[in-house]
Amino acid sequence: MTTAHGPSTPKIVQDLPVIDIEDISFWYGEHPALRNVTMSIERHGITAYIGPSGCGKTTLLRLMNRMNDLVPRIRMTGSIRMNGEDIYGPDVDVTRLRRRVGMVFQQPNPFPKSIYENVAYGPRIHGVKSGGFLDEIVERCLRRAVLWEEVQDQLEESALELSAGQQQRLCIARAVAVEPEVLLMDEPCSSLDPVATSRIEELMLDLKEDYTIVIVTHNMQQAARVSDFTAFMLHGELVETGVTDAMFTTPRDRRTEDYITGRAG
Amino acid sequence: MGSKWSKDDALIWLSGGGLVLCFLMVAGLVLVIAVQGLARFWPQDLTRYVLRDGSIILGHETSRAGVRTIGSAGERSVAYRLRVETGNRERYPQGYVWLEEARIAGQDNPREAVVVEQVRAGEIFGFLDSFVDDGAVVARGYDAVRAHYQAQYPELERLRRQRALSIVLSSADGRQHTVSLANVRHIYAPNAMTAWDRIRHYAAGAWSFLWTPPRDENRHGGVFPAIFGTAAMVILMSVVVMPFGILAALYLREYGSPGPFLNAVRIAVNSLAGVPSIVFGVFGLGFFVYFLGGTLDRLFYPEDLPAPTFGQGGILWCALTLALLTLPVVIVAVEEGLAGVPLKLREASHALGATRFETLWRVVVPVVLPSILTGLILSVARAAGTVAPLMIIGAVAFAPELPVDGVWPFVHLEREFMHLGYHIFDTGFRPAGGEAALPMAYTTTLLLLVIVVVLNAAAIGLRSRLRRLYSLSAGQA
Repeated sequence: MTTAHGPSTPKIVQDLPVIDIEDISFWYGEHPALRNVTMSIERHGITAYIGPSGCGKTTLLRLMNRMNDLVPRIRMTGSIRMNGEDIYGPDVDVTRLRRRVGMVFQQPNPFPKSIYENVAYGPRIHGVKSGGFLDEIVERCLRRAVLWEEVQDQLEESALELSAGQQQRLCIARAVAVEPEVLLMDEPCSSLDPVATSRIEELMLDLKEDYTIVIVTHNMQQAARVSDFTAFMLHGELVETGVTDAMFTTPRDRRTEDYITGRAG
Repeated sequence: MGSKWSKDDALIWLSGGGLVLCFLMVAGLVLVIAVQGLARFWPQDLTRYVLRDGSIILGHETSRAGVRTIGSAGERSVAYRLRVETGNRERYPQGYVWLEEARIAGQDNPREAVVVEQVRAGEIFGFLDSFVDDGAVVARGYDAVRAHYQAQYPELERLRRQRALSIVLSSADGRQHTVSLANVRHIYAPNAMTAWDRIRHYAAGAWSFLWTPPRDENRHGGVFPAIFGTAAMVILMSVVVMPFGILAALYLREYGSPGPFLNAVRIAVNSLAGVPSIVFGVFGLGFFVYFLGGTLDRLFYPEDLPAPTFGQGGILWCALTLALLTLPVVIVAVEEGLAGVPLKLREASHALGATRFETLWRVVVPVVLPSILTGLILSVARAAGTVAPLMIIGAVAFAPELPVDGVWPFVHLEREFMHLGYHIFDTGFRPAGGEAALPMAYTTTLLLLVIVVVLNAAAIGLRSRLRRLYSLSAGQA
């Protein structure tokens, strides 16, 4: 009995959950990565996954926008529903799904193009052609990612010239440009210094007004600072999930307590 | 401990020695080609050799060789002889004579000795005797003839069409020789030249080497048609090989699922790179020239048969054959480029809802562009230096017409053409012309070497730019 089930998950938002994960198990070849994971992602909140390396939290995150489709020899059972629709269903358009579920990666990965083209990339492939409209989108998204003031005079310069922290905010602006509902963040601050990290954290708190954010992090202080809900994973299993404050003060599971107090993991 | 160190030392000396040996061999080769090739345009002094038997020879020494002799008393000695370039092929068919040093009574460098470069039949060395205008002698002696020639020079083209102009030369031993001005390209007196004159003469010679057609069965004149033919053939080849190479590499790296089939294709591609180039020539002759060319002739040029139009060697078939030859170069270069595109860039694109094709076209291809250019330049360098297959499918020693000219349809892909590599073979090893064209071979070799080095340097430059691009995106992360 290691999974926390839906009914015990506290609800502070009136709406239904955005994403329902139900009994997901997952294997890379013969190697099991996830075992019977069931939980919900609440709308307009920040949900943080914590746990030691290799516990499956990144794998779970990448299942939510089907990024693992690109990996050969994988197997999955269970279902993930977004707004009630099975995202692994036969009629699902993966590119449309990924447009609704954006992703920011562990390492900043801007395209080797100009700052402008990085942000405009998503809208362009989804059919925006008008230059004036693109300009508006680029400015709005860069402002949303609190990057506009720093880069407004160098939009045509290479994105690779930016600092790592600026690159990561550019990646957030790029993800926001396709207007997703959910923003998945896979350890977005692990390669950043403390100043850049705190700027990203402020940005996340700001963004949750409009987006549902799911973040994977190694950093328990970060989870405590920014998230509304926390899920603790261990060896491919979901040990405990709940409201962040409650979980960090009164964890229900012994293993969670060991991990957050630094005795294990 | 001690023995370990000495083994290390031995390896260092051995590998270092190997490197030095390689370097010396390459440097020596380049030096020989450069010295011989660059010396060609430098005006050499003319020397008048007076021999003990009274005969006089005008020319310039090109080499000195020792000959072992055994005297009547059995004593051994070494006699030296000079190889003297004489010009005047009507009198000295080989263009040079051997002079034993013992036979030479005296020598000097007369200031009045001139070199007459003829349009046909090579150079003549001698002394200016008189200038003849329609049978009448209008100037006599070195200074007068020279002054008259220079005064007439600007209008020479027009004048010599109206009147029979000629120059009478006297050879070193006094024989007279009349040269029509229609056959004269240039007259100069090397012994009287200042350093500045020589430099100008050198520059003019180098310039006309690059931009004029050959004369006198490739012994003189320039190599412009060969440069043009090589360039045209290589461009044509690039147009064919690049799309095929890029598409093949895209399939191998992006779309094909790894397995025995892809491995077999890779092995086949790499083996293709190791096939001797003459085999490609034989294939080109059999498939392109005889089969494709013959079919084209029957379908589109039946009125010209049995004279072949496309059914003989030509620039198109050479380009297609070399495209096959360089295909592996392009595939390998582009595949390496594709393998170097970081996964995180592809993931970033997919995560934004891009399809596989959009990712390939908008993210991967721009990043791979330098690799594609590298593949192009490497294949061009390879093609520019490959001669063997061309000898049997369309490169010729002398082609009267360029493959591109003003005659409709302007581009003549079926024509035979001149090629720098074949030009080297022709001038360097042609038995009929003797060694008269040998200096030309060095100069053409140097030119080809320079072209290939420049292309390879460009490829290396592009590759390092590519690496900088990656280290930027990877280094910051």
